[in-house]
Order: sequence, then C-alpha cells, then structure tokens
Amino acid sequence: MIVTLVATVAEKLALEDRLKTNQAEIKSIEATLRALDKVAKTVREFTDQLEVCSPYLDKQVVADIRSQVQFVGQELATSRQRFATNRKEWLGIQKAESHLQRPIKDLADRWQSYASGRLSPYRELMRLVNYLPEVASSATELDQLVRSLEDQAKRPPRTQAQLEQCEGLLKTLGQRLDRVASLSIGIRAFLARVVDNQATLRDLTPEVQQWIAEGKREAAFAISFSQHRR
Amino acid sequence: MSEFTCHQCWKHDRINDVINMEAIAVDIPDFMATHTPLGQIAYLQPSGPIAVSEADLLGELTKSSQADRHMFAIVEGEPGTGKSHLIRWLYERYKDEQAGQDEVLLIERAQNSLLSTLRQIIDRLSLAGDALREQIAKLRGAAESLSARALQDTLINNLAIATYEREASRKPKIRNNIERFLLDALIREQLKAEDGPIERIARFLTVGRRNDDTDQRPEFRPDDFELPTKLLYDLRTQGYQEAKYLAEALSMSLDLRSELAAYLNGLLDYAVTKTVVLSPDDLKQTFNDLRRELRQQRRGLAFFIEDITAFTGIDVGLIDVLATQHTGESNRDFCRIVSIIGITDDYFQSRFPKNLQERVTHHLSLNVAAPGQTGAGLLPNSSAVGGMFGRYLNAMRLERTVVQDWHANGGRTAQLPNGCAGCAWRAPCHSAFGAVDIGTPGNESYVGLYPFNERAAWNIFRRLDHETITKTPRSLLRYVLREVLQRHGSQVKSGAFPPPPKELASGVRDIPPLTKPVHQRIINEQGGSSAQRIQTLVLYWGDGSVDTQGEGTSRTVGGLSDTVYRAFGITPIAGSLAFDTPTMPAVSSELSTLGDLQRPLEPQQVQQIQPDTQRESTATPGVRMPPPRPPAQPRDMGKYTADIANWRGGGQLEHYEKLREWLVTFIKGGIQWELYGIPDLFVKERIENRRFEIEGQSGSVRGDCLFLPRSDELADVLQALVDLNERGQKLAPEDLGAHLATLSTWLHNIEPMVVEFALKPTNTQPAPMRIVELLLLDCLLLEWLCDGLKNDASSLDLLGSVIASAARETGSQPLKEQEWNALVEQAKKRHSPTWASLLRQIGMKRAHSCRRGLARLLSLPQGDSSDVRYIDATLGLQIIAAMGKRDWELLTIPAIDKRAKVIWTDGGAVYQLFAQHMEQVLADERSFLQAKLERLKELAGEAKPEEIMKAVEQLRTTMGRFNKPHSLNEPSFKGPGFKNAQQYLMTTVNQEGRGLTAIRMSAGGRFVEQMETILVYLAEVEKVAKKMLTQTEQQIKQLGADSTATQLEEQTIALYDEIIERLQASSGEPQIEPQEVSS
Repeated sequence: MIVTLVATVAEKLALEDRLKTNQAEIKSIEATLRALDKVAKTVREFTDQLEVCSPYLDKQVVADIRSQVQFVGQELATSRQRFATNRKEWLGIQKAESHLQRPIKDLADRWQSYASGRLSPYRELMRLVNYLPEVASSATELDQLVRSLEDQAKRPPRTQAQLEQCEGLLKTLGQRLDRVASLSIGIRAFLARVVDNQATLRDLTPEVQQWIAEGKREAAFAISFSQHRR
Repeated sequence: MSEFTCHQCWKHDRINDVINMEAIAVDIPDFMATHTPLGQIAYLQPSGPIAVSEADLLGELTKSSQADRHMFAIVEGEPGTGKSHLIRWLYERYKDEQAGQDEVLLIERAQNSLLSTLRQIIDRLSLAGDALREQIAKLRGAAESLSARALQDTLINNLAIATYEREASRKPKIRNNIERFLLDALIREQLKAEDGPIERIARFLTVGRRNDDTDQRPEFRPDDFELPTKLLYDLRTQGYQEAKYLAEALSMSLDLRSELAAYLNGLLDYAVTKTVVLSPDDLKQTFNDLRRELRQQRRGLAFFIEDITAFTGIDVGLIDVLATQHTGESNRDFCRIVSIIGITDDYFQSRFPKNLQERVTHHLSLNVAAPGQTGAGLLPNSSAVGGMFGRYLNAMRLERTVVQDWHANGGRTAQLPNGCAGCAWRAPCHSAFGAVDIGTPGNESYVGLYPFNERAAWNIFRRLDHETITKTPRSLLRYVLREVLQRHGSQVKSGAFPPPPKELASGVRDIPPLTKPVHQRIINEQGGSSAQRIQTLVLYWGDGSVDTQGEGTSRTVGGLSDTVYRAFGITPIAGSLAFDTPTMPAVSSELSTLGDLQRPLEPQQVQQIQPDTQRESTATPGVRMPPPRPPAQPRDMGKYTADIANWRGGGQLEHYEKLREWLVTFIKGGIQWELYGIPDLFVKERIENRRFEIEGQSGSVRGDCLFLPRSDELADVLQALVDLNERGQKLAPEDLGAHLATLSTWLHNIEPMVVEFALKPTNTQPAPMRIVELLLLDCLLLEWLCDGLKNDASSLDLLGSVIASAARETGSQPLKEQEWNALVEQAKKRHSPTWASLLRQIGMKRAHSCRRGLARLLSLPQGDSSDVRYIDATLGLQIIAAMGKRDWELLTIPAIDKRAKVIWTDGGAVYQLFAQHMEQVLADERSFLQAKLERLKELAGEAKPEEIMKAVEQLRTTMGRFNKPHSLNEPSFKGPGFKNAQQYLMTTVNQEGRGLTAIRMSAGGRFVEQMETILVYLAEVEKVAKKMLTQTEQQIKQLGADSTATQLEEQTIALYDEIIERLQASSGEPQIEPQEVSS
C-alpha cells in the first residue's frame, strides 16, 4: 500500500541520512565529545564544590552562583539540541564552559574569603609568638600547617572529606598555638608592639617582666634605639 | 331452324384414326383421304434444285418402270417433313398403277427396328422360290437372334471382339484397356442400364425408337462414359484393373470420353452384324437372289423404304443392293429395281458409302425452306395450312366406313366424300370460318375449316415454340389440329370453346398481342366472363383487335362476324369503333420467323413465296371467306409499340430502357410519397430505372429490383405511356381516356407493392424496421461508442448528440478516416478491448453512411446548403424513448441482403454488430472498470485519494530532501480529480439498467482515462518507492556496519545529558527531560 510504503521509505531515508551524516561528521562529533568531556570535568568538580561549600557561604552569593549555573545548563541543553543537526558543537560547549568560569571563580573567591577568615586569628598569633623561645622548636611545623591551610583556602573543597580535613588542620593549628602561647591580653599587646617595632621600655610592665622572667625569655628580647626621636 | 351454335361436326374418335404421327400407322383409306399435295420437293441437281411435285416423282417411277430403267432415289428431310408420307403415297399409287408388273416392297418405318425390318422382308419374300430359302433362313436366324434375351450381352461381347479384330483405338489408354473394360461386370451393367447406350441400341434394334427419340440412329455418346462415383468406387475393389484405370481416366477427360464414344460407334455396325449373324453381304445376297428370280419371271422390283436407319448394321449392304443396276455383264441376271428411300439429313454425308453416292439417280429433299424460314418449307403460308386442315377435318367428319368404301372404290380424289355436304349450317359456317376446295379442277369440293379458320390454324402453327418444335406437317397435325381438337374440341358443344389464349395449344409459348393494346380494356369490360375466350378468338381467329367495322349482318369485331362468336356460344361484343386510328396489320400469313413477326410483310412478298398450287387453291372461285376488311391504314407502328406487342406475346422487351424510364417516371410522380412518410432520399434511390425489372426485358438487371411480371395490364400501361409520350395531343379522346384509366387503375393496384419496395431493403427482404429507426439507433449507439453521450442525458440530449454528429457528416467537414482511427485509439485507452474492437469493426465508412443517411432522412441541411429545413425531432424522440423503454435492448434483425441499397446494408450491418456485441461490450466494460478499481485498491488499499496524494507528495519531498534521484514527476492530477474519477467508476460499475450503464460508460471516458493515468502514476510511485526502500535498507545496513559514529553520537548525547543534569541539579531548577537526538 502506497501510504504505508511511503511512510516507511521516508523513515528509512531519514535514518540513512542520519547515518550518512554521522559518518561524514564523526570528527566533529569527536571534537564535540572532547569539548564536552572537558566541560564535564569542570562541571563535575564545580558542582561538587558548590555542593560542599554552599552551606558555608553566604546564601545570596550561593544563589547568585546557582543562577549562573542554571544559565550554563540551559546553554548546554540548547547545544545538545543543536547537536542533532550540527555535529560541530564544540564552540557552543566552550562558550558554555567559559560562562561557567565565573561562578567557579566566585565560588573559589568566596570560599577563599571564608577560609582566610577562619585562618586569620591563627596567623596573628603566629606572628606574635614566632620569636618566642618556646615556639621556636615548633615553628616549622606551625608554618607548614599555616601554609597548608592557606593552600586549601585557595581551592574550595570538592568533597566533605576535604572540608573536614581543612577543619581538622585549622583545629590542629589552634591547639598547637594555644599550647605554646597561652598569653594574656597584656602580653599579647606587648608582643604586638614588639613585632611592630613600636615597643618601649614602658611597655615592660611588670606583667611583662614577670612573664619574661618566668619564662626566662630575657634573651629573646633586645633593646635598641628607636628610629623616631620624640 | 335453330341457330348455328355449339355445333360439333367432327367425330372425336376419328381424330386418332386420321392423325397418326406415323404415316404407315394410318389406315390406307384415311391416309389417302387426307393426303395433301406436298407443296415443295426439291430435286437436287448440280446446277441447283428443281422444284417437283409428288406427282412428278410418281411419273418418274412409272416411266422408269415402263422403260426398264434403273432408279435409285433418296428423299432427305428433317423429321416430320413428310418423307414417310411421301414414300407411302408413292408406294400406294405406284402399286395401283403397276398392277402387279413389279414386285413392290414397302419397308415401313413403323417401330423402325431391325427386327421389324427383317420380319417385313421375310414376309414380303414369302413369294420367293426355293433359291431364296437359304437366305431367308439366315434372315430368320438374324431375327431370332435379335429377339433373344441375351442380345445386350452379345452386343457388348461383339464390341469387345471388334476392339481387337476390327480396329484398335488410336488412344493407348483405350487401346490397352478397352477389352477388359467391356468385359467388366460392373461396366457392363452400367452400359445395359435403362437409357444406357447398349440398352438404347438393343432397343432400337428390337423394338424401335420411342416417340421422344430422334430419327438419328442410336449411338454411343460421350456422356455415356461419365460414370457414377459409386461405380468408380466399386471398381477399385471389385473391377478389373484395366476397367478401373480406363474408368478413372474417362471420369477426368471429356476428350477421352468423346474419343471412346466415336471409337465404339465405328465398331457398332460390325458388332450388330456379328450379333444378328447377318452381314451386309448376306442381305445383298438375299436381294440378288430375289432379283434373279424376278428376272426369270420378267418382273421388276420396286422398293420403298421409309427410313434407312431401320437397317442399322446392314444398311450398307442394302444400299449396295439398291445401287446395283441390272445392266452390265455381271448383273445381267438381275431384274430392274426402282427404289426410293427416306434418309435423315446427315445420313447422306456421314454414312452413305462415298463410292455409291454417285449411283443415286434422284436426290430429293424436303428441306427447301421459304426465305427466312428455319423449318421445312412444306407449309409456307396459311393457305397451305388451311388446305391440309380442310382434308383432315373432312376425314374426321366422315365415318370410317365411308372412307373405306371410297378407297375400295378406287380412292379417286374427285370422288372423295365431302363431310360438309349434308350439313345444315354449311352456308353460315363456311361463310364465317372459311372453306377450302379439296376437289379437282372442274370438280370443286369445299370443306369447311370449322372450328378453325385459316387464320387460326396458321396463327397457332406459326407461333409454335421454334426452339423446341420444328414447323413441319407433322408438328402442324400433332400440336395444332390434334391437340386443339382433342383437348378442347368437345367443349364446343358446351359453349366453352375456345379456351383462354394460354390454354389453347401447349406448343405455343408466346401469346400474340392485341394489335391495339388499349383494346384489352374493352375486351375485359365488354366480354365479361367470356373475355378470355373472346381474346383467344380475336388473337387467333381474328385480326388481333376488337375494331368494329360494318353494320348489321356485315358487322365484324376484330374481323370476325357475329356468326363466329355465336358459333362458340359467345355473345358478340360491341367492340371499338374503328376510327382513323392506324391499326396494326392483322396477323399476316407470311410470317415465318420470330423476327418476321415483328414486321408486316408486303402483299407481294406473299405472292413471291406462295407455291403455284396454293395460289391456285386459294384463288379458286367459290371459296367463301369472311368479308374482307377495309384495307388497314398503313401505320408506322413504331418500335416501342411493336416491342410491347411482341413482349405481350411472350417475346423479349427490347426497348425496355426507354419504356422503363417512362414507367418509373410515371410511378415516381404518381404516388404521394410523403403520405407514406417516405423521404425524397428513398424515392430518388429506390424508385429509379435500374430498380425495376420488367419480365422479359432484353437486358439483365443487377442488384435489387422490383420485378414487374409480364401481364396484359402492364403491356397496356406501357402502351399507354408510349402513346402519351409519343403522340400526346394527337391521341383520340377516347384513347386518351382509356389510357388514363389504364394507368390510374394499374398504379392504384401496384401502389402498395411499390411503396413497400421503397421501404424494404430489397424486394425479397421485408424491412426489419423503419430505416429511419434503424439508422437513428445506429447513430445513437455510434454516439455511445464514440463517447459522445453525456451522463444523465435526457432523450432530447441524446437526440441532440446524434443529430449533431449526423449534421457534421453532411457538412463540409465530415469525419475523416484518421479521425475515426483516433477515436479507435482513444477507445483503446478509455475502454475495454471489446469496445474498441467494435468501434474498429464498424469503421468510418459505415458510420459515415449511417450518420449521413440519418441526416438526410431527418431532413437535415444538405452539405453547405443554407436552406432551412426542419428536423423531425418528434420521430427521433419517439424512437429514442422506445429504445429507453426497452432499456436499450436491441431487437434481432436478419442480415440485410447484400443487394440492398447501401444505406440499408450499412445500417443493417452496423445494427447487427451492435445487436451481436453490445451485451458483451457492456459486460467487458464493467469488468474493465472493475479491474481498474481493483488495481487502485491493490496499489493504495483503502486509502482515500487525498491520503494517497499526500503520501505521494511526501515521497517526492522526502526523496528530494535527501537528494534521491528518481523519475517520479509531479502528478498530472489533483486530489479532487482523483476522487471524482474513482467515484465515477465505482458508481458506473454498480449502475443498474443497460441504458443508464451504457450512457455512464460513454460519458465516463475521461474519468477512465484519468483513472488510467492515476493508476499508471501510482504504479510508478509504488515502483519508485519500493526501489527506494530496497536501496535505502541496503544502504542503512551498510552504513550501520561500517561506522562507530552512532556510538560516538550516543556517547555525546549521554554526556550532554549528564552535564545538563548536573547543572540543573546544581542550579536548583527542575530537571529538563533529556531530549531525543533527532532531526
């Protein structure tokens, strides 16, 4: 019957055409696939990071990032549609990928900001106690901890484990510092003035002297003229 | 005294006494009493013939006897000319005058067989002495052998012997086979069969010839050897090989049959003499002995032989005897012999021994004919006939004893009793019917010719059929006197004589015409129940007219006095007053040939050929003939009148063309054809000269024609037309009136026949239907077959179509052959093969003929004529309506005679083709349409036209889109057209009623053609689609096997989906359903 026959012919012709097109555009498909592979890695990492980090970030920031992610998703969905007829979709994919860099950077920045905020007190303490004799023996270890934490702050954690590891390091650093330099506020103020080269003898308060003495820390300090004549 | 009427003066039983075809069979007294002097005997001399009388001959015989002079006379003459009569008369007279001086022998012709002849000789020779005994014994032996029952076988055996003893045939086929052929039992039975050659010869030898035999001696004839097929077949299994061979050769060659007949005839004498054990030498010896004996008695021998053929087989011996004189050294012992023998014409030339011909002393002939006369010349005129009639009638009126007494007392002519002597009606009878003198000069004796007159006897005699009857004295006695008296003579007493003209004498084939055809009406009107008898009277006894002349007792009608009419019990009619209208001459007594019958002879011609004796006879004072008529005004009868007169009497109508032209013109103008609904066309073509055949016209007629039989009425009509055309105003008023009455009456009588003829295909074939109906139906069906009808057409529409096509045929652009061929070709596309075949069978010419004929019948304009003429639409509509009422059933008609007019033959032929094939054409056409619909279903299933068209478009688009090359053009039809065609065909196939179906089929040609286009296109679509499908599937298979593209694509798609899903999940938006990757 002609009607059925014609329908079958049309279907088969379309299939054939598609097959022929495929055959002819296999390199394009491969390039598209490669581009897609690349963006897939980014997306997988980013989406994981976003999943892990978003509870610790500002909600507004996270919403902004999610909005940008949604846009990129739509771009890729469109690309997918175009792919049916246009195998050379790598440019579209790359474009989508480029659009994904911004939320990635935003996330990284936000995460780094968050992580730095968490590391900052420990850094200040380290700067105050770094010259103390009792710290000198663990100074390297502490420096490594700080550098490790600084590195992790630069790259948002992708998994919960990474996040917990970072928290653990931060906790370790705090504990170490607390153990070697459990200082009162007056001592912390004196040490801050010394580190800033602004301490004077007047700052040698009894408490300070006592603390020096008790800890036989006299050698740790030197007296010099200040640069400023007042 | 009572009236002279219905009187029979002759004795009926004396007719056969007096008139016998064989002179010998008549009693001598009667023979002598009826002897009529022969008019003319030719004595053939080297210087030319000399006329002699029988008295001269008798004188010669007597003188020869007295002078002891040898005489050997032969008398030649055609059968019936009176040879036997003459010889017997000479014998009787010679015998009387010799008074025993000679031995007088008469060999009679009676029975005329050799057996009879031998017996006659034996009887005559009983007077002979001892010297003849041995010879007489031989004759007796011969006679006995002839009477033996085994004569036929003996004759054949002797013929067989003769084939090798006598003479062998020149033809090898005969020479080598004839003996066994004649000995073969089957062949012998064939030869001996009734009327076979041996039977004929044996019969002739023993019994004599039959009345219907000729005077020729019996012989073998070529057709005797045209053997029956069954005999040839039987010979193959039962006969001698030689007989079979010769018989088959004879069956294939007329020349061989003629050769064999001639050969056996040459042996016949030998076989006969062997059979009768009597040779010519034996006969010669017998007569030589007789002559010697008579010599011793000092007597002579007189030998009278009526017919030499009586001596068949030994005739040569007899001639030798008769030719042998009694002088010379070797013949001194013989007595004188005078002899006279009768021979037929060819005997002298063909069988008479050449060496003896010069020894014939008197060569006489009775064949001297009058100028222009084919028969013997013994009866050259009416007087001769009258004279002969008078003697025979006189003998019939006399008692036999009276005649015998007369003969016994010397039989002198002067003393011959007169049968009219004591008759009370002698005077009126002789006056009315005439009388002839049978006495001697100075002793006249008038005997009446009643119930004939001289003219009647002559008229009947001269009109005897010249093709079958030779005019001789014998035929005069046999076919005129004896037949009329025997058949009709006794009716005189009852007042029924004479009979109607056609019954008077069987030997008369052509009835004479009236001299004035217009008189026919007068006879019919005045004669009443006696009209036909009056016609006989005036035609034979009278002058051929009913002109009235004279008054009172001298009044005659047709030259016959009232006495004549009353004598036969007929009331005399008033007749026609003879004005100065020229008349045809009365039946002339000098006419002797058919050609002469058409022209009158001048009186001097009669005198020139009338023998002296007859002139004397007719000039004899005292003969009282009817009062002479005033001399007829010489009239140039005119060739047409003479022709009609001759034709009326049975002759040919020589000037039929002109006469027929006048006749047809009269018919054409005399009938109001429009009253019969006969169009001019038919009048012109049916009522034309060549369509009329007058019986007896000299020219042949070809084709169909109306036959007008010979009749007096038609003769009157022709004569009337001649007179009216040639004489017109000069016609006497009464003749003009009579002619007009004749024409009017005749036309009235034949009008139905002529009208029917005009309407019929041929004269012998009735019209199966009116021609206009036939042609209209033909033309309607032609329109049907030529797709000229429209669907749902009314009768008026149908008639309109028919007339339009018919009008075209009479116009300036009639259908051409190539146009017709184009119609046939179109029919092949649109219809079933039967349909196209029928169209082709009909052909352009017949279609043209039918349409043109119809146009002319319906008075359509002719050619380019601008004449306004009406169309008989009512008639046409009636015919079409009747056709519709019959649901287009065609009535069967017989085949039209091929001789019919073209319009009939063509119309009939076309109609018959339709009648024979229409049912089949309709059935085939229905199947044809069904086949198309089934084909459509096969191609497209139940899909609707629009769906099919959409699919077709899709296929074309798809193939185009995928750049697939194909041959599929854009369809030439659209969906609606497709739908209409399908719908029309379906409706037609399911249509009921022959007429409606036929019209739908005729009107639906374009739909059929369109459907065919659709089917062809769809078939192409199917073909292309199937091919495409096959190719595509193969390509798909190949592509699938060779490429990983699909996998890659699938991977890509999957990756897309994963990424999109992740992003969607990360964005917090609902997930987008993955879409199929497709075009």
